[in-house]
Amino acid sequence: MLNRKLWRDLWYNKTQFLSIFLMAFLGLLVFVGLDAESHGIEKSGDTFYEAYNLADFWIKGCYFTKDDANKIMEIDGVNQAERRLHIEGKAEHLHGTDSNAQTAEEDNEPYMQLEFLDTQNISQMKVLSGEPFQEDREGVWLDDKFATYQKLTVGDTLTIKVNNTEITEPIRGTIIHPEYVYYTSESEEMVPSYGTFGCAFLSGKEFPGAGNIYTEILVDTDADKNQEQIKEKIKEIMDNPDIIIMDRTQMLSFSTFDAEIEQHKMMTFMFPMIFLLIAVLGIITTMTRMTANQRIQIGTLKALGFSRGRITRHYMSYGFWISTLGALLGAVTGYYTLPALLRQSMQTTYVLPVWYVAISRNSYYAVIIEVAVSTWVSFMACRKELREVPAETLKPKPPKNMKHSALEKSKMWLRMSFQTQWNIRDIIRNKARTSMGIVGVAGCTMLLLCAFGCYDAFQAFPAWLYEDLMTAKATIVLSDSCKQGDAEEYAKKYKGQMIEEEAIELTANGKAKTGTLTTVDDGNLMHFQNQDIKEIELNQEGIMMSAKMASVLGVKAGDFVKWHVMGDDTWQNTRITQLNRVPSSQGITISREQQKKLNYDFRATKILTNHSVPADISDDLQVQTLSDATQLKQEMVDSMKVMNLMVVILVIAAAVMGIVVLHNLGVLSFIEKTREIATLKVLGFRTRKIRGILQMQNIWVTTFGILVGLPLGYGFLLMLCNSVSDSMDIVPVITPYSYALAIAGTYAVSILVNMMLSGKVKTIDMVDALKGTE
Amino acid sequence: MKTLIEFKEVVKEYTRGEKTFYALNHASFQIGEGEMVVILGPSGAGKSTLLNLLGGMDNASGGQILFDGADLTTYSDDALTDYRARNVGVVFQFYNLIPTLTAYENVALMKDIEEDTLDPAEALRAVGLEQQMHQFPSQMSGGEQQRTSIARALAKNPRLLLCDEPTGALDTDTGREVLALLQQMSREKKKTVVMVTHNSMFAEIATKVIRVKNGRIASVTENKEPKDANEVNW
Ligand SMILES: Nc1ncnc2c1ncn2[C@@H]1O[C@H](COP(=O)(O)OP(=O)(O)O)[C@@H](O)[C@H]1O
Ligand SMILES: [Mg+2]
Repeated sequence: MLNRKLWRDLWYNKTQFLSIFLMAFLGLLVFVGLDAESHGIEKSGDTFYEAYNLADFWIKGCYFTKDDANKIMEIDGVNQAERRLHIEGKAEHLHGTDSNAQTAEEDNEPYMQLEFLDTQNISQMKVLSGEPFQEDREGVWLDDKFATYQKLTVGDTLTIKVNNTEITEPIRGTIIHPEYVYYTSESEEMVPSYGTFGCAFLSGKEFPGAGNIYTEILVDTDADKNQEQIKEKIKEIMDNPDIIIMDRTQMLSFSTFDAEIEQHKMMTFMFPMIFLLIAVLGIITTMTRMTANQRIQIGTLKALGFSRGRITRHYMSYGFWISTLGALLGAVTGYYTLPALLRQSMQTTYVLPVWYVAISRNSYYAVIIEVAVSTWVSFMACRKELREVPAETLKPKPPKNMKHSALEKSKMWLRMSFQTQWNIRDIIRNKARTSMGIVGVAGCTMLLLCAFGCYDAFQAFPAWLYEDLMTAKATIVLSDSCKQGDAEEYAKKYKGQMIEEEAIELTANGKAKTGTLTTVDDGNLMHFQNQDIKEIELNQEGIMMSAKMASVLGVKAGDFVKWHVMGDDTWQNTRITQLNRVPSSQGITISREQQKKLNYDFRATKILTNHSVPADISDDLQVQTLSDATQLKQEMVDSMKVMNLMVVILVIAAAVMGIVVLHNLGVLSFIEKTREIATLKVLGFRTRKIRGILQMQNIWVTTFGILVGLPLGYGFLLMLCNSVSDSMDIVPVITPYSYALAIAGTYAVSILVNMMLSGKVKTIDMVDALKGTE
Repeated sequence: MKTLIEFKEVVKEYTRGEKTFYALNHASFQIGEGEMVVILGPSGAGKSTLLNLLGGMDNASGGQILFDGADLTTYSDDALTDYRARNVGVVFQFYNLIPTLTAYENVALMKDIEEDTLDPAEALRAVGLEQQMHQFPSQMSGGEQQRTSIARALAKNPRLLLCDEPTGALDTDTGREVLALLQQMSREKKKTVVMVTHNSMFAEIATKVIRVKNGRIASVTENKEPKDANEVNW
């Protein structure tokens, strides 16, 4: 029968319990959804890497003989080692007549990353169509996305420009590859437009060039052996200062995907925390109220001989059932909706054979914790009523000790209006309820501000990159075969500014990180900003380090950092004289003069210009691509659109949270105040006047909550921006407009709730409410 | 007649600020099995306090309360709960039914603590409520609610039936019906009934009347020929 009471109580308090249910539901929906998504993509990557034996180390820096590979294979813990050549090239005029169908503006000589293989046991390709790769078979195994986009199929031929020679090969298969889960044609492009560039795999025998061609060794190790030891051993055996050994975390594809997973995991924990907090607040308010209202019932049950444990379990089961129901339904809904929603953008950014949706153990823990906390909170709420002897519980609660606060004794008090006095007393005597209200409102403001802030940050991002930091209309990206003399000529012709970008490795405080060395020639198309986003001039002394890189390495201006250019073993130890903020390609920046002092030869890799450059310049052998800033910016804006989804989710969450908490508290305080309100009515206060009094308190609480919520929202946004990835630096800008919107939104929620509740003032029956209990 | 209950110098004190206040001051009396006892006294005299102690719903500050020879004041919380569940049926002034349960369910509730209870339908029939069995408390009159409450108290077949001002919230006629029902329980089912009231007219139906004043037992009188409840006027 107690169970029947349970279900009927739930039904009679359905709005309250529905709100708790909703919070549990939303919390677990987001948690399990994001967990299934992040754990799913992690699994998708891991399975792919495992099945196609992604290399553990890449050794680069010189020509490697078969003997070198054999020697490495003998190291304890190494399973296999094999040679490869990685080189950039271009696809020549695409085959036959079909290419005529392509529009004129389109790049007819797409950029290609080429891999020439000796053997293929490590980092194997997954063939999607055509025949499997064979070491001595002539032909090319082509990036599947590229083949699809360029309308190439198995059996067609492809001409590739590489090493200043053209080779024409039949396409044997279309493939995807564990080292090409994420790849780009240019460092600035964040969401790659796959298909407009590609990768291809060929037998080493097809390479146009004589002698030993292999400049890379791939190493496959036993995962359970000490990887650092193996690395040391390789260094020892190769005994060549020029070589560098990269592990997976230094590979663009692996590390980008990995960072993406980490970011998703972080989200998994941040958002549901808020919902859980609200669910707990909801349960506290509802259960405290319910047990207080059912005080006499509890006393009766005790008098009838129900044991304390029995009654406790009864009241705990409210929290238990509601949260179990909400949590499980939320988990299932989250599992089936969120991954599917988020997948779309993942699938355009990363190339994987299978996309799994899989939850981790954390999802089970989340459900258990949610239910446990809710049940525990219900227990705490009824414990108080159960401590007393039944004779006491059967009596209505004695009124609280009405002490006068210091304020009430002061002179100021007398000058306040009745409304103010009434509300101040009410707040002081219901501190718990008031603080819960403030927490709820603060949470609402925080989420709103964070949502609008995210929107601002993402809006500002492309403009920051393409309007503030780089004021060139076009970028000519030079190819590997471009001589410095040619570059100078282009620069002169288009009045451009030359830039050299090289991959470097940096170390400080025992941390190693790969980054970009940007050397800037004279010109005014590239700009720098300090940490306050104020424009600064590039120092001629020392180096300028990007702020994100500095924070990753744990260094600051004035510190020394060691670095070397990839493929060159001369380590530099230079002082950081400036810090600058850049959105992507973190690393260091120096001037051309400074570079000269460090004994490097300047070799431009791209030219920024504001003059119009003919589109067919990319046909030149020296030019890799010509990119248009407005177009790049537009692409970036488009790719940021997925972020709007997150903004919408946040805004909805904020509104639901605000409404639920405030409505709950409103109903609660309303019930507690029924007697007082009835008294006011008897005394002749008009309904409108009473509403005004209630509204006043509401506005106080809301205002205070907003004041608390704004800094929290900024902090939360900061956390979000910092967690995005090591290579991206998003400045958490919040426009005044967004602040206004967050504040207005919170007031709107508060007023809405007030409207929902104010109808109740009329329904209070004076006689009924004032009838005594004895 | 066997003695069922014995109060020996029972004290219940409350501290009000600095002062100690005696709600019950060295109260002593005996109640035999099957008696119909009325506890009389003005408001605030300590009647409810006495009844609560008897029902194991409150703890005494001193003295002994013997039920069937065992001292309730030495009982633990769990033992008291057990005592209430097994031996005591309580009827409250304001009925105290669970508002979300029907009359039938309110009585059936007792099955949750004791397997061996009367059939709820039968208990309700015994108090004359077979028609209203499936109505919620809010759909019943005060008298009907009080009768439901009596049916609930009787369902587990207790030896002791405690009633605190059972007619306090009822009009004369329905109050009389309830009294008659209680008297019937005492006479026919041999229950020990202890009823608290401030109305001295009820003294006539009791076999024993205990008068309480300022926390002290003023007098204990036996009534050789109790009146029928239906004959009482007030
Ligand atoms: N929890 C309490 N704290 C202080 N005094 C109490 C408490 N409960 C009862 N009293 C006092 O004990 C006295 C007896 O109360 P009670 O037994 O309820 O009287 P009644 O005879 O009207 O049923 C009263 O004066 C009452 O004020
Ligand atoms: Mg009383």
